[in-house]
Amino acid sequence: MPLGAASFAMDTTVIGTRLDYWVIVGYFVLIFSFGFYFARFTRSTKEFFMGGQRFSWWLITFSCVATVVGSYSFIKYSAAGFRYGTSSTMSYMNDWIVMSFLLLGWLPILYFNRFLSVPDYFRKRFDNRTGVMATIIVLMYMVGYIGINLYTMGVALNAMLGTDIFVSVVVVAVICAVYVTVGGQTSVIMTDLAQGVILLIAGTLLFVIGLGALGGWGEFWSGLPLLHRFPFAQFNEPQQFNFVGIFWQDGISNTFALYMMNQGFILRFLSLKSVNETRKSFLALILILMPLAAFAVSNAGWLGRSMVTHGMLPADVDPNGVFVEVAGRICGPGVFGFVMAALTAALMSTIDTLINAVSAVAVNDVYRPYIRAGASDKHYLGVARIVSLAAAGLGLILVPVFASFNSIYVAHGAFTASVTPAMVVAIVLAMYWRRFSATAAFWTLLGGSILVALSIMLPVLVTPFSHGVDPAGGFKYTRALYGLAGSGLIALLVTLFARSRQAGELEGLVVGSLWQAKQRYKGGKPNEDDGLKLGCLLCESDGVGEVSVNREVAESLNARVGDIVYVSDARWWLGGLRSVHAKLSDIRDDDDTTVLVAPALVLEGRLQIERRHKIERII
Amino acid sequence: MEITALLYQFIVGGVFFTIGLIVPWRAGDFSWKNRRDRRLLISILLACLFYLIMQSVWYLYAARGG
Repeated sequence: MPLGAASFAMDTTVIGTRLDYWVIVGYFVLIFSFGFYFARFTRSTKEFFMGGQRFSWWLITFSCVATVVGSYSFIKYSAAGFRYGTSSTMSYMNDWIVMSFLLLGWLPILYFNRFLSVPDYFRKRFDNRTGVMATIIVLMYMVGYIGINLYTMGVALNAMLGTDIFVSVVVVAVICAVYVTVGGQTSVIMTDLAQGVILLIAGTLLFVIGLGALGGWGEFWSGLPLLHRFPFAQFNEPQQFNFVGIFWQDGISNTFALYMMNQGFILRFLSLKSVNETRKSFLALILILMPLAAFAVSNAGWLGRSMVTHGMLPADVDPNGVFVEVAGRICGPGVFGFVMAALTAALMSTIDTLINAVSAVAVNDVYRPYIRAGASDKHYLGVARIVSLAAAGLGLILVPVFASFNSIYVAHGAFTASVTPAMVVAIVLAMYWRRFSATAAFWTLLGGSILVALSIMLPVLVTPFSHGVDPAGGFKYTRALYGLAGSGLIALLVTLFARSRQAGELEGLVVGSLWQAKQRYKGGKPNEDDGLKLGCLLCESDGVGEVSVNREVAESLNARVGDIVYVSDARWWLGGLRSVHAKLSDIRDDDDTTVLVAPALVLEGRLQIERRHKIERII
Repeated sequence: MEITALLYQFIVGGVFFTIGLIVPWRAGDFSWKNRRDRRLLISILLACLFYLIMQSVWYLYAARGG
């Protein structure tokens, strides 16, 4: 549910003690130091954009929570919870719909082909023209999004703490830009991991304290009006918050876009050590952490409504200020500061992800193919760092623009609404329909976006798709269904008349050819037999190609020469920070179970050779 | 109350979910005979079932005034 800047125009209420402010300052220092510390793990573009593709599922899952919870989520969903009750969780609880597309199609195709972005995929799946079109759309969407997130964050902090909008925006942008520029994706992941944990703890803590203040679950639940207790809103009313609109706009269009088009998420999943880990990570995110996140960001609104019923809050409390109001009333000194730090965590974790994502698209889809091809990795890493700073700077420049001209803010919202359905249709058909051609993809993106833009000027076009929603709101939410249907129709019609690529040219790029994608990834026949994960000792050896094990170890791993293995530090809580992928280059006939590793790989994986490690076969 | 929303979520959402599942399966990317694929399919189905059960129970709890 997009929320305009005007929605944040709540009364400035400065709450909190000196201790609370010290907690918030301490939080900023902690995150900055944390991000800066992990900068040492970034020495190549692969590490800068994908953290070296080495991480464990649990680490990425927690970091994703902080990224999903945007700069305004606590304010927005608490307000929705206060106005409409527990159905405010709807937006977080419909991600399961996209699960099969993501786990069986999109993620394996991206991962095995080593694609870094949607434009990268479109260039190979279709042609240059479609790739350029996708690059323009993605960059406009992301850069504008950095500005919007910074702006909404400044407004939210101003309302909560009374800080000047531009001062707080500059402070947060500088902190994020510094650690992203130095540390890239690894710093983003590690800070977002910390922020995800803080965010969930603070949200849960707030609810527990609130229940205590209200007198327990029974008092809380009885304080909610009957219609506020359901998991879904009313089917098609009111027009500001109805089930069917949110289903199409959020559950289908935005959820597909978030996981398939949002560069931040793509890079996050590509940072995992294997496709199997991407699947585990996404399942854990959907099953455990999204419901927890929905609860964490919404419950202040539910508590607020129940407190109004019990006379503990005035009935005319501003819904957009209910999060701060409830937290301020029920939390003691220090705890309030911790809850506010969690809110700031949500703000920062979205911005750092976006900065890194813009840098990835600018370097890999613009600079590398069109400006300077064939340069050294060190050169591209330098450019990536400069672009990160520039992206943060551009976002900062956009803040006063968004603040001064609401029409520009609205225009970016309209742009996003226009391109999202078309992009979603193009991505899904690209991987699921072999006949879907380059011409069809190009016209789907262009025509679909134009169709939606037209409907913003002529809302009557959406009427057949509105499911009876009151047209007074301009079909803000049901427009997504119209956009999806229109883009789908264009895709179908153009495909019927345009020439498709030969089947052989699409191998590995569409569903039904995943085996070829795996072959491309490995550079040989994939080995998918079951094998064990073993504890082992390492020894650095100049005499091996990459990794050498004896026959006993190879049999336990079920590995053959040429297979890709993963060697990692045995300390699970490092989450793969010290690890490396390598080819099994030799199987020895001796009795020594020590794993021999080439010195270059020890350096690349930051392996501490004297420690215990684990080895497993990936493919 | 709004049982239509619950049904719509799982019927229309379920259609999308099923398309996403069936196409790669039928195209031969996954096989029931492969243990890893089988485990993946079961996990995905269980995740969907988890939401169906959780939101239905929540709905019933709210509807009976619990």
